[in-house]
Amino acid sequence: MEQTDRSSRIAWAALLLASLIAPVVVGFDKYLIHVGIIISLNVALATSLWMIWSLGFISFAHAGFMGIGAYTSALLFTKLGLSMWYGLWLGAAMSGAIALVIALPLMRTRAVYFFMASWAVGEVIKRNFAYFRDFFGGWDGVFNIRAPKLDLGFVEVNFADRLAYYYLALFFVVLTVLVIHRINNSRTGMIYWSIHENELLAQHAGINVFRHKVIAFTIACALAGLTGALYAHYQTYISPKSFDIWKSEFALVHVIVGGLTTVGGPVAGAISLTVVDELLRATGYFRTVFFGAVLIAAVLLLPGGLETIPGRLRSFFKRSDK
Amino acid sequence: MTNKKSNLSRRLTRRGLLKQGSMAIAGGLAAPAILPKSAFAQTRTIKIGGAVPLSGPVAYWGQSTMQGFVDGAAVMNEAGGIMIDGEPYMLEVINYDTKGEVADSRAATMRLVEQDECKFVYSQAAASTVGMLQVTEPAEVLSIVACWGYLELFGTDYPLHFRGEMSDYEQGFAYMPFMIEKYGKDALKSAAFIGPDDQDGIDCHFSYERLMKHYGVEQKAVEYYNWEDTDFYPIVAKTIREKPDFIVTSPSPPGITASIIKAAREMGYQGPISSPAASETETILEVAGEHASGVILPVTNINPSSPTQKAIEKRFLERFGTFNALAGNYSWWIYALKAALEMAGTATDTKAVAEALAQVELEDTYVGRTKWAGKNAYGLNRQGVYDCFTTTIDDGKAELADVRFPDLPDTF
Amino acid sequence: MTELLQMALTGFNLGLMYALIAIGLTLIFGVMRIIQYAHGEMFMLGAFTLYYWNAEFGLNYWAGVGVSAVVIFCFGAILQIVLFRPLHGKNILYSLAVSLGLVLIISSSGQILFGTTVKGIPSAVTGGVLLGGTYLSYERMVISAVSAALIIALWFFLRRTTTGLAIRAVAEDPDTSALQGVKTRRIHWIAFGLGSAMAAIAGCMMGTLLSIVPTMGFLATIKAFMIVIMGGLGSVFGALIGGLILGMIDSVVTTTISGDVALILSFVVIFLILVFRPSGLFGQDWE
Repeated sequence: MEQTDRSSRIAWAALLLASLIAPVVVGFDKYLIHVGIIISLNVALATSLWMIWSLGFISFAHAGFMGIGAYTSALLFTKLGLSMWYGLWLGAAMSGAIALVIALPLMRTRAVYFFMASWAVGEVIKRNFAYFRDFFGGWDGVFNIRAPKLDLGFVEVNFADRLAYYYLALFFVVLTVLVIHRINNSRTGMIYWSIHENELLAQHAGINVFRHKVIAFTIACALAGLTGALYAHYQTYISPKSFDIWKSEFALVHVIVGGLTTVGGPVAGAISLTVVDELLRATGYFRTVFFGAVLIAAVLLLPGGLETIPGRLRSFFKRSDK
Repeated sequence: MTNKKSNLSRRLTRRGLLKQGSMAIAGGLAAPAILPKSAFAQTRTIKIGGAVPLSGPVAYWGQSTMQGFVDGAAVMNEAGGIMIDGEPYMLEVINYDTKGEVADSRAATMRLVEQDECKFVYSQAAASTVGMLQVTEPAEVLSIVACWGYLELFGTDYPLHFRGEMSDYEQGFAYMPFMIEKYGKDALKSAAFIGPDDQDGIDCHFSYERLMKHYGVEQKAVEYYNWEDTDFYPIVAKTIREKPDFIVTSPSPPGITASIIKAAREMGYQGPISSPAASETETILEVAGEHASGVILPVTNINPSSPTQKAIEKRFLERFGTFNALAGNYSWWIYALKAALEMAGTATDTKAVAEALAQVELEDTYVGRTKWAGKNAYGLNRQGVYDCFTTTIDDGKAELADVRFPDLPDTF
Repeated sequence: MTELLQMALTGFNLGLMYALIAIGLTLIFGVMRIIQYAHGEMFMLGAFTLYYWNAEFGLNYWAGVGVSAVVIFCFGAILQIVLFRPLHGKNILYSLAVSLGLVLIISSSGQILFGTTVKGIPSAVTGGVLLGGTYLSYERMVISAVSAALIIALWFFLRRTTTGLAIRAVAEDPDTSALQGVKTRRIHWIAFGLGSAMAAIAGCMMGTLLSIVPTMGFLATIKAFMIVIMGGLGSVFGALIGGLILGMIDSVVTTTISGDVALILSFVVIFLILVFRPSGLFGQDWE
């Protein structure tokens, strides 16, 4: 156990180091840095979805809450002129607040029904962005959402520069993953997994299941909102279509392919599948077909997901030692 | 359209299945492979990039657009490339899929501009265009797209941005005069609009409003349907309750237009229905059956007749296994670009090429005469205008009924 | 008055077709406890089978509907055996991911194989009567009748035949029914095939009434899920009621208010139903 812990710590450190020096490795290729930013955002989204999963359910409203964060930050910028430094936190807060209110009735539903009800929630959120045209801009969306500047006194960093934005996104992704990792490894995390394993038993053991579910859902949605704000200021344009069901589904797919039991799963899944999608772009017509094939193959041939690879390798080498 | 003809073209389609598969590889995977690179090791290359929806719900439009460029480039390369300032240049077409999404299109365009260093790009449909423009204008890359709405992203602020396809607005100056001739002005006093509930629908309603005002037509019902809708009875019932003289269904795709026509006719509505986006006559005939009558389809040339048009149809069938009128409509863009490159005498200075392109007028393309207009409306001549081939469907038969250059007002 | 009648007729017709798609989905969930996200793709493939049979090769329409049902039954059964059987008993998310992959593969290869242009299947029945402003289309009447007949037939099949009873037994309690000698593996592929065939027939009906494209499956999936959630997963009767509710909302609200309100309203209705009856209108409490 201790050895696993140490090697996983080494793996995390290596990943962090790799992502820090990645721009240098790719020779500051602007396009690859863009891919890096997309990977970061996908990792953040998938990880926060995984946090909900640690309680045993899956939300299809995740893209919707990401949208709430994105729209809050974007409208604060375009209507009130407040920069992303406000939008990030207010977007997350707004997303969390709405999640809290919705979670109260939503948590009455269970298992598959939760899944479906959350899908309806996500769809209504998206539809509202389109329906209230005067406020949210309708299907037209919101344009000119600029990235912020940071005056450090001796130097001014303009995050419209892609490299700067990469490190900004990386910072918040690391923050998101760290927060979720800490919660997961704490006593609260154990409570979550006990709810995941057996809700009824957890309830009888004196755990307030409902409260834990609502709080975890709120935190995860607030983190999704934060990701949404980062997304909006990077893409500079958002519309209701940016937050449709497919976004939630792809986040879910990242979690499944990566692995369901550790926080490393969604991280690995989001990184690898985003890279695969990017590699497939040049295949034109076949892009979607190939992506679907990769997805099915990953699920069928690698049960448990990417997170099981280290364990598999270890047992493989142990066997060959003998 | 006679049965024989449609059967023939269908058989070609079926036979083309395999061909289509291989074409997909030729077109999508390895469009650059069309160029035997070694043979032209000495010649220079101009890269043209496409960030188009090749998969997803709007793939039909994306693929049709791509075909024009792949075919045009192959034709020009076979003829020895294009001569710029006395030097031959080969064309290389690179295509990336955008799934018709804004963010994905932005990414595809970045890859074209930043990695492949394309100076000329093209795109299709509003979402892909919105994503593309954020990249191309700051990077001084020339773009040619088909996009009907988002007029705030067009004109003076986007000098390198060309819209090659006539929107429903420009088409209106051809199909409205035609309809007035066909039905008489008294039969067209009021109109209704049915469009999808998204930005395209809203923008097309805006064009429709301006157009109806121009022709003094009273505007009655305005209805938007959801893309999730399957049945059009409710929306059509609501529209015809107000008894408009005719209905405009832009920018509804052929399938939805056909459903609207069928529903309207079944519920006893008699007036003409004009659809500036539904250029698949066969679909409409199949879906609406005996109800397909009084249908006006602008920019739909179902009957290639000139040698140029016939040659394009033949080449597309050979190369891609299919040909549709829409792909024909987009096929002139690359020829206009070629003319502009030759006129500007440079393959790198996109501003000069854009200036030249705005002046390019072609005489003999799939859509007849083409030019760029819109100076008074948008501040610059960036909107493609060309002969509008209008097909009508009456009593279950489709025929090319009218060819005319849009009668643009002075304010355009 | 005539307007009301027209709305009611349209809603009823739509509702029955929706129910036909949804019943297949609810059957598959009930028996296998998997979320078949690619259900709409079966709907699409069913419509295209009929298209090639009828419009391309010019063979008999109704025979084509049967052929389509058989072809999609086999296809569904094969999918179940090859892809979903290995995942049986595992986390529901794995089968969900596989069916999502299937959605991507089937709809995109549909675009490559069938082409991206919209197609139409010529109607087998045409004409209709205008009764005091209300239009009765024969085609719609036939489609409603076929849908209703199929739903009733399925209901009898599940209650009167050995296989039907076995399906219900497996849905109720797989372990006990296995102990009683029911071959659960066989029941799984039969139920999957049957559910897919229902979707295929719905695809034939709707494809004739409307038009067909390779990407149309996703729409059907959305509608089917909305209905199944409303009615309760695993409940055939619930799917019928859910279908009719959705059809009526689509028809009445769109005609009287507008399309976007209809769509938002149907999601709100789903949400409210789930909040007050967390297992849908007629669903069991699956754990």
